[in-house]
Amino acid sequence: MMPRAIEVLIATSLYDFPSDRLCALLEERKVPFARINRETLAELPLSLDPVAAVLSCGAPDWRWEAGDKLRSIWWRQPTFLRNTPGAALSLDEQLSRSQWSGFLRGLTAIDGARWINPPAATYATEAKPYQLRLAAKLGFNVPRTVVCNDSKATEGAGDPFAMKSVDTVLLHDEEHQYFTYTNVVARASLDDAEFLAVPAICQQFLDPKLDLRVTVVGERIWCVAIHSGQGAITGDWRTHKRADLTYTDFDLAPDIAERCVRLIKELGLTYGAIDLAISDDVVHFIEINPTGEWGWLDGPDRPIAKAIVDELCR
Amino acid sequence: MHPLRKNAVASPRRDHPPLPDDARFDSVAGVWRTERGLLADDKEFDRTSKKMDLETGEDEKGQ
Repeated sequence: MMPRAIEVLIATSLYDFPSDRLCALLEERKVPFARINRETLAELPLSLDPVAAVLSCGAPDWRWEAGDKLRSIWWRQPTFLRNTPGAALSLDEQLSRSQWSGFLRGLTAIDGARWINPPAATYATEAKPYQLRLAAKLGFNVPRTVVCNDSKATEGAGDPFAMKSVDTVLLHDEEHQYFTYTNVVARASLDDAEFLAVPAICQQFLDPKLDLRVTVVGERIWCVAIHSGQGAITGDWRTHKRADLTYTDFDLAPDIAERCVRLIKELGLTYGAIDLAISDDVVHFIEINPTGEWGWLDGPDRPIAKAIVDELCR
Repeated sequence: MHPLRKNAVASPRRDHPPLPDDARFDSVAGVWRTERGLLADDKEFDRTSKKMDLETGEDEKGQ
């Protein structure tokens, strides 16, 4: 039996539920596709021919080949290892993690397909200083920002200031996981020696503000304003209970919308989730997440899944 | 303690999100299904997104 020549490869996680919608739409459009999940890679007989740039799956009941016909790859994989695990990994686990991670990186040999997003572009975009610099060059207003472990240098961000992690803080121990949101910090509360231990992003505290989430897929763009039941949100909106938050469509000024699309292009991305905030009638760029979640905004009024599938099928 | 650690929000450790008992992943179709249909469209389960009340960095950043 000849393997099925797939046109779209969905490379994601087993628990990436929004990607289910992409698969369902691809099925509806009768586009041959395959989904691989990093948690279950060891259950599939996979082989990559790096010179021919062909990935094959030899499962008896699910033989497919991602080769000449492959149009695109939906890439939802970590681009680098971040946090160390809370518990020691067994030798087999260490071997599995490092080698599957390398195998997935090796899929970049498949260079004839359109990657959404390209891993190298995602890697670069994950560096917040890099994205802030580019955003400023494109004309966005960027809040005063200092990335430092020098408490005196935080003066540049004002007092109080918003403290953010340089990279996602998701720590684990045996029983718990720990996630750090953006926090408002008074300079007087800083202990110089403790602050010296870890760098942080210190940014002008915008208050009051209106949070905007802009989702860009190619040339398509959606913007919602995020409100809480209590009105304006101080600090990080993600700390509010979901039931207390409402998302309403928001008309971005054409020049800001155009700038968002340009930013995505300049970063080499097709998809991106951009956070903006309006304070004192000024639109500020907060950050862009090249792997930002989108399922929570997808629906008839904001057909994000459809737009992603349109891009994957181009 | 550094503010980034002092201000971290703790929650019980979990390796994957809770799923309905009847949820099964269809590897060929690339979707989770329950007796009610696609899990991604199940308002009752409301896991069309990973944006839960608790942010855990699930947007595929951590590993």
